[in-house]
This record gives sequence, structure tokens and C-alpha cells, in this order.
Amino acid sequence: MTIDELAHAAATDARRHAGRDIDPSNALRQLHRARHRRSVATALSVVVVGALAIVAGGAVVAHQRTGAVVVPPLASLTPSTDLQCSVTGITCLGPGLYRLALPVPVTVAVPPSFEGATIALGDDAAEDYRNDVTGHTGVTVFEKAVPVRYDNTWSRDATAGTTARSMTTWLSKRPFLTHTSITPTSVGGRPAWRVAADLKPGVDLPASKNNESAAPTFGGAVWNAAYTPSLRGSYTLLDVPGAGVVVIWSWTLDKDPQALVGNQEFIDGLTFG
Amino acid sequence: MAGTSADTTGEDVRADVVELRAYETFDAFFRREMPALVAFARVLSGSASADDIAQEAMLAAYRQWEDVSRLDVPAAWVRRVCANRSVSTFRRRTGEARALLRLGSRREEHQPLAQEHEEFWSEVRQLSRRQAQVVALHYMYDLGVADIAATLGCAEGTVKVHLSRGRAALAARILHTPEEPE
Repeated sequence: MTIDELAHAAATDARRHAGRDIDPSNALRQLHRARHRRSVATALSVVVVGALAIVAGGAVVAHQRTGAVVVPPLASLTPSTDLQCSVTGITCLGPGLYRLALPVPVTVAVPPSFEGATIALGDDAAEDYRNDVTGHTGVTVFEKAVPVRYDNTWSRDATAGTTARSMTTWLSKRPFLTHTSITPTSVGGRPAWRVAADLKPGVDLPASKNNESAAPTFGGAVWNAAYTPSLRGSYTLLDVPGAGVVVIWSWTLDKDPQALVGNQEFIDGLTFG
Repeated sequence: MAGTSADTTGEDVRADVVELRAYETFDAFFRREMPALVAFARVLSGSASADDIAQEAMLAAYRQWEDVSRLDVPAAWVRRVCANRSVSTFRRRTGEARALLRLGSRREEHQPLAQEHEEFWSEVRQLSRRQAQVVALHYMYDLGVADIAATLGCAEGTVKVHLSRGRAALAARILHTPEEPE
């Protein structure tokens, strides 16, 4: 058997299993119901704001109820082949230059060593990945970062304070870290602090991340960050008005910690506002 | 444009195609693409949350359907989102997608693939992120180099290199018969 034959058989098996497990009609019905409920809730909240907003909210609800496609004039159907530039929330400014619609917009100059396939993690975070190292490596930008407790609740740790400086101190003193260093730096012309550390061997890892036990650090509405035995990295924190404390997480699953070095170029290409 | 007469010109036919594509509803798209997307997420992520990843990708398409439906290949967009999320270090903690797919699932526990197939996909996941994406797209969707490049937003030459090296690595690890990269 060749690798191609094995691959095709494995693909057929995988498709057949998924086809048996998933009922698309049922999943679709649930999706519509959930979206409808959310849309109605949105519309009701808009009532409080004012009559004009009600009209707009109603239009959204009506559209989402039907799930129908608004058919544009044929002349406007210009097919786009640049998928990245068609992603809502990402504006392509030029080759390797993107603007991300986070609470405070971020301009990213993507270095050649990155994929330039920046993906959004909810509304307040985004990440991109290296293309020049074997192990999974990248940089994640979190706005409105929430420092979380050393347990499995991913809830705010009030002892961390509310500024980048106070969170830097808090992070550097996490009981599960060792070899910690703090380096004053800047990002996009704003003062920042970089915290580098290693996971202390043998510490309790109360949370779970990527199917690994983890020591949590930061969390957001739909994302989280942590140390795991195979996930190392450094954090750069800065204050950005409107975005709270911004955390830039440089991370790698590569066995070689030197993989992190190339991440700095991505961080150097970030500007906020 | 339906019911065009026998003297339909090529231009009319092209307009038909455009119009039909524009009218495709999200529902039709979902029914056609979802099972394969779930399979794709499962082989690429190998995690218990693979089904969530597929559903999240579909939710993303649903929220942006006006834009996504106008792309050349809307399925490429949702596959790209799924491919990125499947190899992402980070997982959403929202329960929405999980709840949706649980309700759409015919069974609580998924039956495993044949052992040699599980092992194959496990080895695919050991490849570099991009190699794994390229290999999975190639075999799960029977996509060629150009289509994979368009899906992932990279050069065709890059796809060729990743596919060749990925195959060679898999052959060496699984069959213990080194295959020379093309």
C-alpha cells in the first residue's frame, strides 16, 4: 500500500463517520433558533436606545429569521479571490499590511516569517502564525485582557490591578513561574513591559488548555492564555486607552525556545489606534 | 433567467451561473458542506472540540453570509476558517457552538475510525501546521494545488513543497519506506 492509497482510505473513512454522526438538518434548525433568540434579544435591547435603532434592529432580525441572501445587482458581484481581505473585521492596506477591527484598531505589518493569515478570536483578540519553524509558533494580541486566578475558573484575579504595570508585576510573581524577567520596552511608540518566564517544574496545573493541564494567566470573552508543559512564551503588556490592558502573547509549541526569537518582528510591526 | 430558449448565448449562460450562485441560501450551503467540514476538523484537530470548530466556522459564515456568499468559492472561506481554528492553540470558551452541534448530533459518542486510519491522521497532526493543513485539504476534499493555495491564501509553490514534504514524512513514519519528495 502506498501513502496515497492509505490517505484516500483514511479520508473516506473519516467522511463516512462524520456523515453518520451529524444530522445537518437538525444542526441547522438549532442554529437558526439560537440566532433568532440572540437577534430578538439584540432588538429588545435596542428599544431602549431609541426609535431609529428599533428600525435598524428589526431589519436585522427580519433578515436573520429568513437566512436569505440579499441578492446584489449583478454588476456588483465582483468575485474576490483574496479570502483574507474578505474577512469581516480585516482591512487589507497593502501587501502584508492589515488593519484589524479590535475595540481599538490594530495595524499589523506582517513579516515574511509569518503566514499573514491573521484570524480573529472573538471581537477583541487576533493571532498569526510563523511559517519558518516546525513547531506551532505565533503571536496573539488580546485587548481588554483579564488577569485570571490560579485555579480552573478563568475568573478575574482582582489582585492583579487594572494597569499594564500592575499586571506586569502580578504576572512576574505568579507562583507557578520561575526564571522570571521584566524588560521595559515599547510597542507602536507606547511604553510596555515584557515578562519572560518558564513554568516551574512540578507545580499544580489546575486548568485545562488544548487538552493539556495548564496554569492560567489571562482570559477574555472567548479566549484564554496559559502556561502548559509544552507551551512556552513571553507576554508584553501595555495600556491603550479604549482597549484597557493589551497583552501581546509570543508563544511556541516548538521544542526549541529559540523559535520565539522571530516573533519579535511581528510585535515590532504593531500599532494601536 | 430560468427557462432560457434554445438560442441562449454564452453570455446568458454565464449570467445564469452567477445568479444561481448568488441565490444559494446559507441553509443549502450548510447542508452540503457541514458533514465534510466536521470530518475535516476532526482529522486536522484530533480533539474533542473538533465538532465545535466546524460549527464555529459555519456560524462565522452565517454571520457574514452576505459577504461570504459572493466569494468565488464560499466553501473555501469556511474551510480556511476551519483549517486555521483546527490548528489554533486557542479554543473559544463560548458554549453556543457546542450546544448547537450536540443537538445536531445523532449520537453522543463518536465511533472511532479504523485503527490504521486513526494512526494516519494522528501522524498528519504531527506535521508542521501548514503541512497538516495542506495534506488534510488534499485528501479530505480531493483538492489540487491551485485550489489549496486559494483556500489557504498562499502561493502554489508553497503548497507543492508542503504537500511533497508532508507525504514523504508520512511515508517514512507510517510505512517506513522513505518516499523521495517530488
